Amino acid sequence: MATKVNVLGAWTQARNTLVQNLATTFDFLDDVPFSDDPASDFVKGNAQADRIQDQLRLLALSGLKQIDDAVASGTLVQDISDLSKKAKAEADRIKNAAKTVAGITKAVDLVAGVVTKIAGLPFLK
Amino acid sequence: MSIQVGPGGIRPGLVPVSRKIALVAMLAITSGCISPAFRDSVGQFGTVTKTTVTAQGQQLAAISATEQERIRAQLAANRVDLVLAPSCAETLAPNDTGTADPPAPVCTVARADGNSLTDAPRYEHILALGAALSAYADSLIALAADSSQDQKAFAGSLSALATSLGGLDGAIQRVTGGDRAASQPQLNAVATLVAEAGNLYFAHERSRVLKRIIIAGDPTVQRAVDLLTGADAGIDLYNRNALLLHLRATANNARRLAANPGTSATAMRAAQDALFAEVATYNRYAAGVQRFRAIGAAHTQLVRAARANASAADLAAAIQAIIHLAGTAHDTVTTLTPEQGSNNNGN
Repeated sequence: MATKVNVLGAWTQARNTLVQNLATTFDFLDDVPFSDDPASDFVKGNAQADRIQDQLRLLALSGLKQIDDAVASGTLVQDISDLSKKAKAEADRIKNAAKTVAGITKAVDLVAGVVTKIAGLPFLK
Repeated sequence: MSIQVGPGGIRPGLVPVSRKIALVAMLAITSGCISPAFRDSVGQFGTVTKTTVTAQGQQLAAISATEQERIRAQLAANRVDLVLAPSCAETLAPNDTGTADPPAPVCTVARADGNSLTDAPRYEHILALGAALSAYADSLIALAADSSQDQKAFAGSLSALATSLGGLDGAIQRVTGGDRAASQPQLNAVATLVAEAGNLYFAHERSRVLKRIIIAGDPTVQRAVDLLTGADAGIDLYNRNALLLHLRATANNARRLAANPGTSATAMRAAQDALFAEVATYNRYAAGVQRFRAIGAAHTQLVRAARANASAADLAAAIQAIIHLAGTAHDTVTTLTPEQGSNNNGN
């Protein structure tokens, strides 16, 4: 998992750098007049913004892939599944215990047994 | 709480009977917190966690669909020559070994230029992790269920208890020589007491097991939360980027019209209204990154409450964390509907 955290840190840094570049491009575009001319600063600046945004999209997808791979290579899914199976088994156990009242009747049986033994004592006959 | 039997009162040897039955009740009451607040909190945590996981699954599916669409559009735009792979013919003669080895051939499409076709991402492992967390939430919900169902089952099984009490009554009759009718009210009191003890026992069991599971599961849940938070960061970037791309197109359209002296005021107004609306949509997008962090924080608070035997302060902190979690989950679900439309025309 330590590797994953480092990867995520690098991912965040890459994202922040791209976002900073995009903000700079936006700042540049704010100061240039609109133009359809392919040679204009406006069109060039927008092309630059498109490239950065495409990089951001790819970065988002690669981050998801890295996490998907990290999950695939670990045992976390199995760990959580085991945990929920245990919890489910406990829930079933309690539910079944309620149906059989074994725990409670056992206490009463114990009491009844004591009384029966007392009744069997010779001095009570 | 007297269970003295017979008109002559109880014999010395029977005193432990009342004490033992009282002990059952006392054990159930004192051996752990049986306040329903803890179980309610856990149940709510489970429900909101499931909602959050479902929302993330929908967003991942939307990203997969968008990327699939992009890949297909590029194939068409580039006029890529697509052909059937030889495996399509091989499907006519499947192996009949009855085993998975070798795997049965599957018909696929290939590029005639020999380059491999790009598959859309599926994120099946992240989805599996989300599903596992959701199953965990389901189990917590089942454990945190109101114990009234147990009580119903318990009441339905009182025949076993009645048999035991019958045996007890018979033994008592033999000891005291008393008459059965006179002992009946006392026996009913015993039955009621035992039934109450049973109910307390089941409520206590649910709380006890919940605490144990939550404490034991916390490290695993926190690791899952870390990974799913990372996935949310990717999802957020992808979705926001798509919305911003759309926003830029709308803004550039408004600038194009503004730069043209012939643009009517009506057209200008429409373009600028569209820009204001797009900005509002963009700002409404709720960051999902906090959702799984909120799950982690709420689970941590539940662990603290469990360790402190659900003390009032720790329970209050857990409930606060769950309310925050519910808020972030609600924001996400609210945002999802308009956002999905943007996914398909953004990136």
